[in-house]
Amino acid sequence: MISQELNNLSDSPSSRKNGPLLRMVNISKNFGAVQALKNVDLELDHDEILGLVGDNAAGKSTLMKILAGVLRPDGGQIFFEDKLVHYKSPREARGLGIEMVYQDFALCKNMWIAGNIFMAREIIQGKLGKALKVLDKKQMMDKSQKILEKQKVSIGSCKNRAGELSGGQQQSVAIARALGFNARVVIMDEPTASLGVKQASRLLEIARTLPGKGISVVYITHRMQDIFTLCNRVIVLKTGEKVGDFRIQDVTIDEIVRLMILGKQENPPVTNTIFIRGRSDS
Amino acid sequence: MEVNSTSDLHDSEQTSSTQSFKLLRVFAKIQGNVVLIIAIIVLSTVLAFATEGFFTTYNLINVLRQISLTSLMAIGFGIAVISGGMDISMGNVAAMVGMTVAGLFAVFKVNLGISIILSLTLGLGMGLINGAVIAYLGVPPFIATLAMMFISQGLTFEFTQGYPIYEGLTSNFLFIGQGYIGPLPVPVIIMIIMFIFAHLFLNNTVLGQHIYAIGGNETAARVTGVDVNRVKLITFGISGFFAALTGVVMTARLGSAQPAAAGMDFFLTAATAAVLGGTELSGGVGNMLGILLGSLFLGILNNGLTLLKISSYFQWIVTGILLILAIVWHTTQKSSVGGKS
Repeated sequence: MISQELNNLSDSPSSRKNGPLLRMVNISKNFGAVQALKNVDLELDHDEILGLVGDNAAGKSTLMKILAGVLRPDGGQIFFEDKLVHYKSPREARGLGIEMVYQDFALCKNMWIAGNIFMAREIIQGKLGKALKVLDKKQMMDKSQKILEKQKVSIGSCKNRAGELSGGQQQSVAIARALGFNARVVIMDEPTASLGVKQASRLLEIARTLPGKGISVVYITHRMQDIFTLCNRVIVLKTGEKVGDFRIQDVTIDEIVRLMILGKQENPPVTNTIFIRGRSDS
Repeated sequence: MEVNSTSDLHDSEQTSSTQSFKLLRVFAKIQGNVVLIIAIIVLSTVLAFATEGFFTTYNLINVLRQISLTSLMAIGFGIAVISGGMDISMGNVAAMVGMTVAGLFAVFKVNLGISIILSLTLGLGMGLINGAVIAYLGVPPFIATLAMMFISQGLTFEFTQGYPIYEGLTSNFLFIGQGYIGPLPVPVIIMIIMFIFAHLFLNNTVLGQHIYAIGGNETAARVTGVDVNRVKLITFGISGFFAALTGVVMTARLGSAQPAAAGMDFFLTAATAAVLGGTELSGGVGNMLGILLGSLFLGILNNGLTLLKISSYFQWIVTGILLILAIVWHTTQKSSVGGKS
């Protein structure tokens, strides 16, 4: 059913633009006695880059892991193109086109590159192979090569192990994996944390091109300058609660930092929860 | 600004890293098995000159027959370890299944085929219980399988009161352990078939790939959508099955079912073969050819030392030293090329 939904979605990646692409409503999550998220709302529009910031333990990663299907919320609902969705695993979230690029790239370094790109969505041989779930390695290789070429990534043969690649190359594979299968939403969790200055700026430029391809981005970072050079909007979390949701042109770095630390500010620049259609050209 | 390429992300690294370590990485890919093959050739050559009768067909087939049982267990152990797990209950599960098949067939006069199927299913079931405890209750594999080791040993001795079963094991059953098909003993044929099966399974099926994936990086596998718990469950089912197969063949080979036939010593020999063959206890790395070669090396060494009339106690010392050397060698290789190889 999810894959059917994906097919429907992928037929017209950005054709349905009435209402936000994604809504998370009243999301709560507890880890034992610790309440990691308290009734958090999040909206992501079509072709939007949304920054998600907060101090350590603010709940950013927990919220995004819920969106990516890695964690299940204790309360709340997720709407994808105004349809209530209940996914129970990352596989189902990926089926909807929700992908995540992890800070540590989430690659199995002991495995071949094509195996990583097609992890959990392997291509199966026909006939007998289907029953035994026999891999169609050749197709996986060819398609991986094409996915990487499409992203203009050159890393040699997809037969090589991911662990043989440099850090930058590994991230290229992680990004190619996220973008290679009709992605609609890409969550980037501290993507520049382990990159050098030049590579980080290149990554920002790649992220900037995604809305033009019908992909919305949620960008988690501690680097305020990245938020202001890349994002249309920013949401601030503080100890599991949403304390701010601003158009980027309506807020300053100082105000966001104050919110991240104190959870409030004396003169809020705009009222919370502003929906934006399309990207600003700032 | 328009940038459509991620290639710049790694431009500088690509030129420096791939060039300087290229040869080393190529060597690292093949070194494990190649080193073992060279070691086997050197050892065999030395033994051919140092002993009488090593290089005879009879003796070489004898070596294969000797390693067949430990190899069957090493296959299952290897698969569990590749997944990042550990199954130390295999020896005792093998003993329990060995007693079960003999009990069903010889004592309760159950049809041979059904006895074998039920016994293998028992081993599979014990393995699945291990897998369920590990995957769904979160018990570490070492502890879960240690508990299963005690449980299976207790069950075996409780039901048999420590007595072996040797009457009623007719020739059609004994054929599994003592028969020949052409020049090859049946256990050797079973071993070869299982090695091929396990190799194809690990390298060519989705489940095989996922076993490597969770052994290499369980979190990455989980967040990309691999059903890690299911993979663990099945993996330990597989190691239980191989323990059971070892038990059945062992009972047929010995001509009697012994409650202590496949205890910790036997299991540790199988584990040693897997580790010598390059299976990393940290998970994610290992292959069936390596395990076969590790098993073969160990078998030839023990056979040679026996032919040289060196005591079995000394063979243990040699095995221990070899194990350390293998681990040190592997660790050195890994640190020289970086990451898992």
